[in-house]
Amino acid sequence: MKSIDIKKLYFIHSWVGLITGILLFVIAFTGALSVFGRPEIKIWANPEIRGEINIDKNAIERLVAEQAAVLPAAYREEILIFLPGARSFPNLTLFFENHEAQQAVLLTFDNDTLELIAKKEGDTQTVFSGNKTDIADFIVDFHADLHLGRPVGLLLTGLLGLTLMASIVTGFIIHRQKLKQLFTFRFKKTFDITLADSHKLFGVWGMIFNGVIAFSGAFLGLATVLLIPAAAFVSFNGDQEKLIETFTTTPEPVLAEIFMPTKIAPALEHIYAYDSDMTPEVVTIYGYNDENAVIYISAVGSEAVARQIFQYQGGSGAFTEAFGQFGKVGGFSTAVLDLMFPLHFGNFGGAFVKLIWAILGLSTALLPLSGMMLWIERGQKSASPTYPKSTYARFNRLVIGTCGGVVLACSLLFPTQLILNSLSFTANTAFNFGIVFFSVWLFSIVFAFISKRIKTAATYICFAIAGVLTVTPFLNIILTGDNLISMLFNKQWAAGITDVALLSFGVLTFMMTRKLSKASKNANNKADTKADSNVDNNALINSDIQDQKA
Amino acid sequence: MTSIYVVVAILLQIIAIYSMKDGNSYTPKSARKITGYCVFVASTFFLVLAFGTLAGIFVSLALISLLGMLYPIIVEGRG
Repeated sequence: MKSIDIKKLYFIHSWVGLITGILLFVIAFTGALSVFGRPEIKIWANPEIRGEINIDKNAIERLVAEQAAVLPAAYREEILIFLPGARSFPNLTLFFENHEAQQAVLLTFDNDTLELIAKKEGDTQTVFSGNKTDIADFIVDFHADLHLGRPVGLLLTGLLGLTLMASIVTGFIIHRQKLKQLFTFRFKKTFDITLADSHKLFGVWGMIFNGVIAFSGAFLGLATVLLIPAAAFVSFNGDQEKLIETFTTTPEPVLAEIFMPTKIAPALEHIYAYDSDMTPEVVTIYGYNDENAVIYISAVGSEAVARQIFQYQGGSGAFTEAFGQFGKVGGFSTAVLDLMFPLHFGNFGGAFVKLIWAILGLSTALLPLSGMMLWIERGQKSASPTYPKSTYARFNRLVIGTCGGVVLACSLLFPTQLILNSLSFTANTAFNFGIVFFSVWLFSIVFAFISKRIKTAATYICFAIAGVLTVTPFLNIILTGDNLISMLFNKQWAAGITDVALLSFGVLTFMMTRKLSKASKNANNKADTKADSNVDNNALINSDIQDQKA
Repeated sequence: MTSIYVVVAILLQIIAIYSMKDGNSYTPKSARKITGYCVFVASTFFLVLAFGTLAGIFVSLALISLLGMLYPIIVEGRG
């Protein structure tokens, strides 16, 4: 490739990175957290589900029968059972829907006593709105649409996936001559060399992972906003419902109108025995108590990577077949579609795979950060910079304020969750999380801009992050009474590991900040000493010259 | 058993990266590279045993990316 083309690509790579870098960091960092969002952080956030939940399958069957008996028959068309702690709902939740009237009933039960805690009635959107939001929901939703709402937010995150792909391609082409430096990381050289090495290291080694994340992220972001309407426009004359109907692999059965009690317990027994690594999440029943009733149970974590749907006969609870969400339609593209979500969130192989995904996700976040810092560092050190030095300084403050601020804001959500749990008057938890998150983020940005020295501001932000993370497990002990030993004995693995992770990250951040702060001070002292010695030398030389003249 | 397969796979991937980066000075570079690739394939085999075919391949690629990033950082940090 000609050097002029490489220069053009370098220009595109730089500007795409500078424009989208901050947002990319925010999305990637919250994405790394979201990997553990459901169920690990969700379990930590809800003390009532920290222990093992063992609800008797027959009790669930009885509960559905009891509730179905008191509701009009039309509400038996579709029944959903949200198994506790698996996805959005910490408690066992039943959802009855009347398709024709577009009305629904949402019932929440205590996991231990199975007593009714809450009941909501209305249209489908109303019953799901206003549910208690926890830290897991807040972070996962923020990662998905930046809390900007579904069309705008999803479009933005989808486009960011595309820009990440553009950066990967241009980065690969402009650095392909330097692939030999795959193992080069010079930590003890100057700051810009370390930044350049880390940028290449994260970029080259993480290329496949970042490519997969970017592609699946772009797809998940743009699918509902652009891709489905576009596909419907091309193939179904714009009829989106018909398109969805064509690709639905869990169709509703034609009802026989003959009474036959639906057996949910055998289906649940089967799926829990099928694969111990799998987590069943939602049970869907069509045509409850009809001879032709069908039960679908969706589960994640199987060897097939993709989310699996298990189909059972309603009347007997007998297993019929298992298939991927779109895989049943057939073709290569549907198999790829099935892989999008698990490959984006790494939820197919247990905690080990999630850990790899989370750490690689952090490296994805560090990629735009190191790129932006490199641009700033080179600009500030350049003898003939493209822009005034003040521009680089201001951009530096913006990068540190926003990137450090989002990490601090996310960290503060953990103690906020514990405090909100302990307060009984907090009705709108999403609003409270939003207030804490966005005000801390804004404060960090302002703090970075008003601080005398940006390095000091960065150090304070890092120390604040370390402090918040370290304090959270102790706050957990005070407010919930759960400590590491009790969690170990009560088999509260997810909550225990979350506490250990918070403490470890807190201590690690503290140590690294202290080390970097000391190194920075030493470098400043050396520079001052050098400057002083230069002044002394110049004074000596000047006095020598004056003596000689005299 | 899954944990044992995973530990073996991690060790094999570290060996693969080591043989490609450092190795010993008596072995030609091409031989070290081939050794590295072979050991990487072996590690993938163990991950396939642990997670299944498709998941094992994905995990293997992700793990080599992670260890490849961390190896120079840890080695340089210690040196």
